[in-house]
Amino acid sequence: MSESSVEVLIVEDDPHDAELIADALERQHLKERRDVARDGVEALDVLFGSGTLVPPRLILLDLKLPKVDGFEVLRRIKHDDRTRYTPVVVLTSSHMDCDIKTAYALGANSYVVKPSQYEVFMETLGEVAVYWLRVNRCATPSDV
Amino acid sequence: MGITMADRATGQGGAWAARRWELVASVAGAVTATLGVVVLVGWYTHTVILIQVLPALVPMQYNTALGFLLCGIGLVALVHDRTRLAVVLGSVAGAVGLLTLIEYAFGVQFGIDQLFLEHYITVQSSHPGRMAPNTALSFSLTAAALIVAARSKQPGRHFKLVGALGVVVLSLSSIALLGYVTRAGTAYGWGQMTRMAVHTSAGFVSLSLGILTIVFRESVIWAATSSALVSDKLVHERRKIVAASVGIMTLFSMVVGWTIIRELYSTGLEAQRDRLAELVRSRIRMIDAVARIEERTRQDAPGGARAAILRHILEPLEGSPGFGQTGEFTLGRREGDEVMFIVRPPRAGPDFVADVGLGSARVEAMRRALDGESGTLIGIDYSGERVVAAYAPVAPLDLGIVAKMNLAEVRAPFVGSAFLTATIALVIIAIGAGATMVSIDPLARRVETQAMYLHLANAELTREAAKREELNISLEHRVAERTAELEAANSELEAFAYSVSHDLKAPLRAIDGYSGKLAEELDGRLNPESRRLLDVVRQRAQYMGRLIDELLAFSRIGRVTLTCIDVDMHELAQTTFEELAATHAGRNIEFAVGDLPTVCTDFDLIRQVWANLLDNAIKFTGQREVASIEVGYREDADGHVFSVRDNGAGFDMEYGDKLFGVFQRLHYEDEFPGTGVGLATVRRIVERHGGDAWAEGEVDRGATIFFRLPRTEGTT
Repeated sequence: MSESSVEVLIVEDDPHDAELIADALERQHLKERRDVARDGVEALDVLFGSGTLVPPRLILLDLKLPKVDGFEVLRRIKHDDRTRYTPVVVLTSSHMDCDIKTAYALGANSYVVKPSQYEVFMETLGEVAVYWLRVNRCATPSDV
Repeated sequence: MGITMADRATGQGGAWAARRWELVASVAGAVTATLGVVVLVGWYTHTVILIQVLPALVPMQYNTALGFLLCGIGLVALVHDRTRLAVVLGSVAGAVGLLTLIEYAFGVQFGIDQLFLEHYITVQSSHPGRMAPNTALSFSLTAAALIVAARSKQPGRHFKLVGALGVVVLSLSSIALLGYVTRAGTAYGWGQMTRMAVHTSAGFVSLSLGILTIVFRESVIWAATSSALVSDKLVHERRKIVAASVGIMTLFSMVVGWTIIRELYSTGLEAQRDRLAELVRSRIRMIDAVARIEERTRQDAPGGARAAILRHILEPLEGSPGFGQTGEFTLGRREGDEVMFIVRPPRAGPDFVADVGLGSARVEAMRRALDGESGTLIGIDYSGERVVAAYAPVAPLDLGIVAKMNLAEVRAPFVGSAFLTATIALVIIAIGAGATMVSIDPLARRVETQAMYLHLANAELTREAAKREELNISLEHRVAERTAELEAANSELEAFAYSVSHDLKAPLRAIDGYSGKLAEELDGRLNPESRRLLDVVRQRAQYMGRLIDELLAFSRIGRVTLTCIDVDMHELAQTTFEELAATHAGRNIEFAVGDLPTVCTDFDLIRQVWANLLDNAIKFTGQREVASIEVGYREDADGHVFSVRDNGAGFDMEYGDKLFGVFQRLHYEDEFPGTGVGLATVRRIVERHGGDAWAEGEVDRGATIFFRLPRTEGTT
């Protein structure tokens, strides 16, 4: 696994949300290398660009994104052999049934509605990240 | 015509019964119009055979041909319910007919006779180009029939009048046609006026038959649309029509037949007079010859010659049986004031008296002969028999000679043929009438009437169905359009709601998040007032977040599809309360659930109803030491009525309805926290199920919220 590769990819167009997510991870003492993609195109570039050799270990994905939306990003992740086993946590404001169903149908590992309250936000995000990074790592091709 | 032809033409099944008359009428109209066109073409192209048929016959005048064209089209128009056209065409033809009649009656000239064309054939025409008076009359009557039929708005009205007009035209024209067949000029020519042409009479026969056909059809429609006992009524009416037609036809035939026979008879009588006169003349020539011979041979004895002549004359006479059946010669001489028959007439009866007084009508012819006159007369003979007689004097002998025959003999063939003709005509008319009567046999008519009625009803239904179909299609189209619009609006709303939930909440999350972060970073360094201010910021941001969430949930209720399943309401109320109570540890709540049934409803939504109602009850009893919450049930005419009663803060009934409005609150938020969407959501959910919700209460005496679900499954 390359030292320079991204381990947690945060795909989030709102810089404040991105900052709060980062805070939540910090609070859980998760030292994994993070990167923030501001839209779908950036996210796909980070994941499938020429410089990327190893996929991230966790992707936190917002759905409503400029340019390419979260669903499309999710679909590409789950349709590509390199990233198929990377856990994707959909992190969004929407609690609409159709979004939830679509996300899981496309292969999302978790669907988390962003909590409005600061404390709950911190706690929830931190716990979900710990869960997928530490407790329930997906099997990656290199593990097999 | 009240009921359109076109309608009936679209029907199926028993259409034949309905349409055959229309077909006949249409064909009659078309034939007549074609005849008119053909003759018009004849006039323009100088094709004599088209105008006259035979060179000796009267031509069909230009106006007549035009009239046929107009009336023929008018008849077809009438059949096809173009009533206005029928009236216009009929009026023009009728006007020409009427003006022509006026011309004849008052000896005036309107200049219509040769309006369109200089008539180059004027055989048997009293006025060049003027149609015959019977033609003009026929046109007037035909036009009247067309106009009356067309103007009659209800089926069957005035059809008797139309029928009568048609019968008169038919009689006039068929008599004229018969006149051509029997060569009786009186039948087609009135006085010295223009004759009706042979094809004119044929044209009117066709036209009038067409009109009578319409009358029959109309009578059926009238009967079919008037009352339940229609068929009998129809039969009755038709019988009357047939009887009237027979009557008129018979009368016309009689009059015309009589006229024809009279004319033939008088011609025959003239011929007999000529023949008798010729007989007398030849006999006198013979006597003259005998006398001359005798005088030459017996010049010596004039008296002897006279006796010899007499003998020569008398000899053949005495042995002669006469001529024909009743014809005979009589010879007589004057003896004083008496006439003496010198030969016993061969046909004389036993009571023959040879001498008769000169003044007697019985010897009128002989007296004239003895007076030296010669001629013919109709009178009586020696026996009082009516005879036609020719008389002449036999000058050399001072005798008179009379040849006479009984009028009865002259009449006999005419009486015989008249009798035969009348018998044949009556038989034909009787057969025709009988056939018509049979054809209007009540049962057959009833069936036909019913078929007609069903046919009409069917056409009406077909039209109605087509209209409905059209309406349905347009309705479906509109529904589809509206649905598409609604769906578009709905998806727009979804997109809007999504934006709201995402974009409005993001800044709120930032406000709360950054305030929280600030509070953490400044922890311990904040004075109490700063701490309070920061908390207010956070509280209000969180409150707004909740408002947005609940508003979204509320708006979603209207859009979700209801999925109804059997829900045990008792269990649901119980478990929902337990879940809620778990978050209010330390509260002393007495909770009682009555007998609640299982109803078919949307589980998720109805759980939200219970949650909101029980949450409210718990909330508003917060200031009671012992809170009491009762869930009740009763059944009424409209469905299941559930209730949640508490002993909480209650409310003023005056504002009771405000409870169910969105963001409507009757208490202060710091007293009883909440967003004011709960009851609005409850009402919205039960209304989606086809039910309703209401509240009863009193300030500080608790409140009861009711909601009713209809007994049947909820509507979507």
